[in-house]
Amino acid sequence: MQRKMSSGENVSVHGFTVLPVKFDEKSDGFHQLFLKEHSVRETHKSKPTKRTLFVLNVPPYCNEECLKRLFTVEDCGKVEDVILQKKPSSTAKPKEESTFFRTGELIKGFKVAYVVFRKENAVQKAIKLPYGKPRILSTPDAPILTGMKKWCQEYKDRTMDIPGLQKEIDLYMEEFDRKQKEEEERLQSQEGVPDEDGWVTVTKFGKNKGIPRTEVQEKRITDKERKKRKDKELLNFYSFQMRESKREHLATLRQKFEEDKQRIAMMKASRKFKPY
Amino acid sequence: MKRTHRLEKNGVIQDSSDVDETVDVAMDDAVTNGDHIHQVQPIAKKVKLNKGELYKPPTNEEITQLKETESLFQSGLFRMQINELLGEVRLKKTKKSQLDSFLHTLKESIMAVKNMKTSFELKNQDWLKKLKIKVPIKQEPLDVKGKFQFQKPKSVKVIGSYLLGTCTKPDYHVDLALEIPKECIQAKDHLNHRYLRKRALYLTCIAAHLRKDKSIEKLEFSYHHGNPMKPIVIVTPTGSVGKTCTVHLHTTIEEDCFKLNRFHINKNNVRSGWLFGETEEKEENDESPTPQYNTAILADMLLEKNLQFLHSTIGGSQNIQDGVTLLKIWLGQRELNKGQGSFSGFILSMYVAHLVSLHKVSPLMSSYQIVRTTLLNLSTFDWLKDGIMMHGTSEDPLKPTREEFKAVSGVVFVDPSGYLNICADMTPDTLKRVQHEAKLSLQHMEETTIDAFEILFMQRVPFTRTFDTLIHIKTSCAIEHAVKQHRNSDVRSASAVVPSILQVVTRALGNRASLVCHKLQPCEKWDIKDGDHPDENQLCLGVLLNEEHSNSLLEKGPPADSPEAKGFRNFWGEKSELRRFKDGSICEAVVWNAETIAAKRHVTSKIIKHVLTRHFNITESCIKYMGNHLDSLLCIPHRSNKNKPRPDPSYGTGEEHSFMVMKTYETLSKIIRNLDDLPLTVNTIQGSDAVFRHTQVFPQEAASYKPSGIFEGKRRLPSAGRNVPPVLAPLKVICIMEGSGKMPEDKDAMQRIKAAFHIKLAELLHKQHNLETVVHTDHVDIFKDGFLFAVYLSFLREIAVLKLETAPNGMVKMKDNSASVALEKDIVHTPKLTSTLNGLGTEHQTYCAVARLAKRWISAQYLGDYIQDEVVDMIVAYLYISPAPHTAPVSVLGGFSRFLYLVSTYDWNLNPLIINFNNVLTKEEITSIQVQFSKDRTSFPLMCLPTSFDQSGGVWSRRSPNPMMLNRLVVLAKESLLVLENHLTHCTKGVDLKQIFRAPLDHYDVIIKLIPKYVPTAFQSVDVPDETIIPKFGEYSNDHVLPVIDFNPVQLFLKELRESFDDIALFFYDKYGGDVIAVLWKPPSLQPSKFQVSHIDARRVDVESNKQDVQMVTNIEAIIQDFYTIGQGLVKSVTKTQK
Repeated sequence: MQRKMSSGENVSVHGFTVLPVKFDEKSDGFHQLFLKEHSVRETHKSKPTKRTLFVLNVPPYCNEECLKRLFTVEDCGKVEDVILQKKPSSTAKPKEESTFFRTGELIKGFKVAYVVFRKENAVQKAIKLPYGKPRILSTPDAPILTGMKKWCQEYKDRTMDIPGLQKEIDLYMEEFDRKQKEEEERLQSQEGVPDEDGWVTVTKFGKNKGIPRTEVQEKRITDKERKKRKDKELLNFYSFQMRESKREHLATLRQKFEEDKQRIAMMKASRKFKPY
Repeated sequence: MKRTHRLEKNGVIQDSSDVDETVDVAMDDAVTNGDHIHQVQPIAKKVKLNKGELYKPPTNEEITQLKETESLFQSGLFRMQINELLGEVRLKKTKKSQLDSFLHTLKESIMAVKNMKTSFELKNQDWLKKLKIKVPIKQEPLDVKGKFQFQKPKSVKVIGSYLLGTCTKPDYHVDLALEIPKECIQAKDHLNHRYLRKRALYLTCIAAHLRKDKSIEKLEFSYHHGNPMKPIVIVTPTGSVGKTCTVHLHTTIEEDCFKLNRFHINKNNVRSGWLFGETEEKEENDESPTPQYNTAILADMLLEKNLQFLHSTIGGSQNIQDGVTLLKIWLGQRELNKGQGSFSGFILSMYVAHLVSLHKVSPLMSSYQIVRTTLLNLSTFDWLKDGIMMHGTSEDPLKPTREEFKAVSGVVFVDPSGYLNICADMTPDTLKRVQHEAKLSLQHMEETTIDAFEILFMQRVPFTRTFDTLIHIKTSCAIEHAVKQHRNSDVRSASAVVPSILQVVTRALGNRASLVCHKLQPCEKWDIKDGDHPDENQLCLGVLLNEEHSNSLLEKGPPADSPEAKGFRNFWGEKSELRRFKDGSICEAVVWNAETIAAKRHVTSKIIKHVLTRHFNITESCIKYMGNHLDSLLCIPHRSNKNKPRPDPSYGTGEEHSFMVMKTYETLSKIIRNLDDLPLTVNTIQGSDAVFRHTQVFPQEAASYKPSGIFEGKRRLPSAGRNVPPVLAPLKVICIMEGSGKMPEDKDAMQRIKAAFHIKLAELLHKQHNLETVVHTDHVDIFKDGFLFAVYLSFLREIAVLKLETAPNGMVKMKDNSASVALEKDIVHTPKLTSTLNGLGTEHQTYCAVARLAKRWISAQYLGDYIQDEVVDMIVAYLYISPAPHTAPVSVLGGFSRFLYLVSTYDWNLNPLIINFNNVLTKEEITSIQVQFSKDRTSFPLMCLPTSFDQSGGVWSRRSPNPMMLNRLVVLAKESLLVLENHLTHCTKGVDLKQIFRAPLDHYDVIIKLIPKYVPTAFQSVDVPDETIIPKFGEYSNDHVLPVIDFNPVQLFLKELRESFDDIALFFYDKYGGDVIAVLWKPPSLQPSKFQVSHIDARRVDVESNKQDVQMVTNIEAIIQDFYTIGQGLVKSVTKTQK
């Protein structure tokens, strides 16, 4: 394998083609991408079979554009889409509905990529890529921003589109209210209507609302019952009960004594009693 | 209730040895285990007695024993603990018989000594040269009358604690008294040190004789309780006995050798004419009395008699013996029973005997009750005022009276003979300390929340950790000064000046100090060949400061025209001046200048230096004041005209800046409260940032620095090539809004409503108050007077909404989940903690500084990111709330050293650290926490810090630290404490205490060096390099342009590193000015592995391996290259260390 790498031939490991990449011309160390044709049992339309390349070990600073450019430069064919994910999966991640309130997590660090080519033969071209010299990710023409420059840029981009936010909120709330109203109406229409078996579901809109089914309520009821039962019991009434309680007292004292003894033995074992 | 509590409390201390062992785990080993949050050892299984045993009919003895335990001891466990302890400090039977046989042979060997044939003049000591032993006493002047002829002792007797059965390890010694026969004593031997010299020569002869004895391992001289007039011989037996026991040889003389009345404390027995070499003789009555000298001889004469007395009163009762032994352990742990003027075992026994004779202690009491009664009497009886006269105040008019005794020595405790004050060497401060400790111990015994046994008998209470400030004084100049002034013919030694120094310091400090004590120097031993012992002329004073008055700047004296005014002026010297006060009076006064709180803390040191120089001629270089040594770590530097950076005096230690932030915050909260048109009203406004509890290490500075960077509209931007401005961090403020029925019960909808509120708040603030704001979806940044406040509007209902969960059967449940816990912590717990700690900070002035210093230290050790700030704040709070066995610290250094001690010794595995703020938790609650904890250890966090508002104890410590970080913290705390305490006790010159804030970097794998000018906190670092850019702070000028907000490239870099390499390495950084990031590989990541899709990040194909299957290894070179890439423009160099 070492021979293959040094002579720049195609190298593959467990069916993955190894492709060395480095950040820029000056970099010494380089990472290895592992490429394979994407093939899973359950397919998803965002990752069409035969046209999708599965890429492992994508470095943290490597983004969609950079991967797109890499495979274009390597002459595999036109890239249609690049999907970055933290972990491999057959489906695509759900699209963010809102631009302001994120539900999914940002993908940081090392990741996997699905590169969707326009043509099928491109994938084959890609996995036959020779090992060769490390490919360069950040070129002077298309630099990747990192470090101070990136942070300064991010700071600059940290602005809030307040009218946009307000508008989105208004729209969302309108939709939310509408849904709530519908739900309410649905429930109201069900009030008092028996289902197929003749059962009537109690809703909070009827005359007889019933008790809400929450944990707190449940607990309150069981507590009440327990108390009732306890009030009926008589303690310290018959002489055998008194005798028993005395015996119990002695037993607890003994039990405690025994526990203490054990504890002391343990403290002793750990030489707890040396005051020096 | 008490009983069960104690059981649980003690039940969980059982085993700490394992933890001690794991402490030294090297960093790498610990990382392997780091993933397991709990490595809790199994707590003992419950013993179960079978039914038959539990319910069998009790015997009479059993019932009495159980009853006794209930009534005589605090609890069964306490009783057993006491028995174990007593067994530990006493000698085992086999050892004891060995020791007895040794004593027997030693006695025979001593009695076999040969008498001297001729007598020598006392001054002629040529015969000694042959023996090659130096006399263990100072002989100045050498020339004295009298003859010495050695005769074998009349008798050899065992005396002291061995006979009473109150000997205790570690210093287990048997006292042997050799009675000097009358033939050796001449009639005038009481005069001019003659007896003392004979006594020393006598011991020298005995020592010379014993040298030949083969059963003796070592022969040494020492002073009895450090009294340089009374040398003793210490004999160490060979074999295993010698490892634990020694024998002390004392001398006695018969009581009728001299008339007791000769040594009346008002008589002179050392003629000044002889002592100072003057020719003219004075009448005896003109000479000043020599009480110390007289007492020394009396002690020898009355030794046996007092012992007989002790034996008859306390020797017969096992309970009293046990009680005295426990009290000796108690004294020993407090370092009060060793050294000159100590509260020795003999004095203690005499005191207990005195209590027996007063019928306060009886042999029927249990040892526990005897300890308690004795401590109670010690703490309540005004010993200093009344003194104790054991013989009563009767009969013999020749005997000195109580007043005469009091005139001579500070502490009066006269033995049954009526002549000997057995506390003559003791200074009042030592007694005061004993009383102080007794009082504290009694309080601890009454508190059920702490383990009294541990605190009374097991925990060491060293001098250095007890006192708030320590003052080391070189007394040599003071002694000379005193000898010149007083021409005292009593003994010349360091101890002679101690009482007067104490008196002056105590007066000077007045109500600033609640206790001033000197440290008892343990007596040293030296080989018999080495001659006498060099004088210790170091004095160490400890001061317990009074929180309220210690920092006051004014010392108000008597009115100018009163007779006391002269004394006041005399005492303070040129510092005293006349001042007119507000009430119109004109008084003498001393005023000390101090601008900042930090400077105020130095007032006591100034006072002490001033009075010592004035009254004892001790130069300032001879005085070392310990208490504020670490203040410099909380300072920020400033630079005047290109000089080296030095601490900024106007900044002090930053307290004032903290207050400034607070003031601005209060104005802002007023503005928010009074805003018109806010749809809902604000219920509460609470700060939750550390600055609002004054424990921010470096309080936020107002942004007034010269704007650097580019403008864009109404804000400034950072740019890559320029210096990074100081960080303007947003200070978190939580506003709880009133609840509303219209609120949607849905978390997404609620989020949007909140965002809308934030937009509204920002708009109103801008319109009505012209404040610059930045809107985020979950908060608003408000820029006011140079500070940035991040205001979070929140609804308590939101927590409940997050918790809501519908079970499959339709039941609605409330269940904690990570989101609800995080929100509750942010909007409920942290603000609550902040306000509570803020209160603690006003109650205890030094709390904030100690907490800040502790955090600074943890960060300097690169652990800051692994231990939450709140956790440190709470641990420090514990030191103030439960300071047992000490009092709450009143100095920064003292507080900090106790913090290190707690961290390095606390057994987190077995005990929760219950922080009972404002004593809100009841006994029952505390018990239940402890029961829960020991029952179900694994469900509690590693560091468990229960409080009244968080009984689970894990709000801040659940996620971190992990065992590895905690172990590391413990190791580092131990090391630092060692350095710190060493410096406190010995005060070595040239030791830089800052060294405990400099962490070594050699055990990390990779060091990333950063370019200092891009580190915005560089000026806060422990050692500020000369070229560091120091921002100028000052008043903020409002130009309605937002400065650069919350921009710290180092933190952004760290965040990205952790995101990228979380599985591979750990990153350590000192957030206060660190210019390096230390990297440690996680051991699993260094192992080669098979090719796995899920386990391939940052790995490469291992081409060197010859295995069939392809191996993957971590691509270290590429990762190091990534460090450069990710931190482009910030990283200076990345180096692999050579391990």
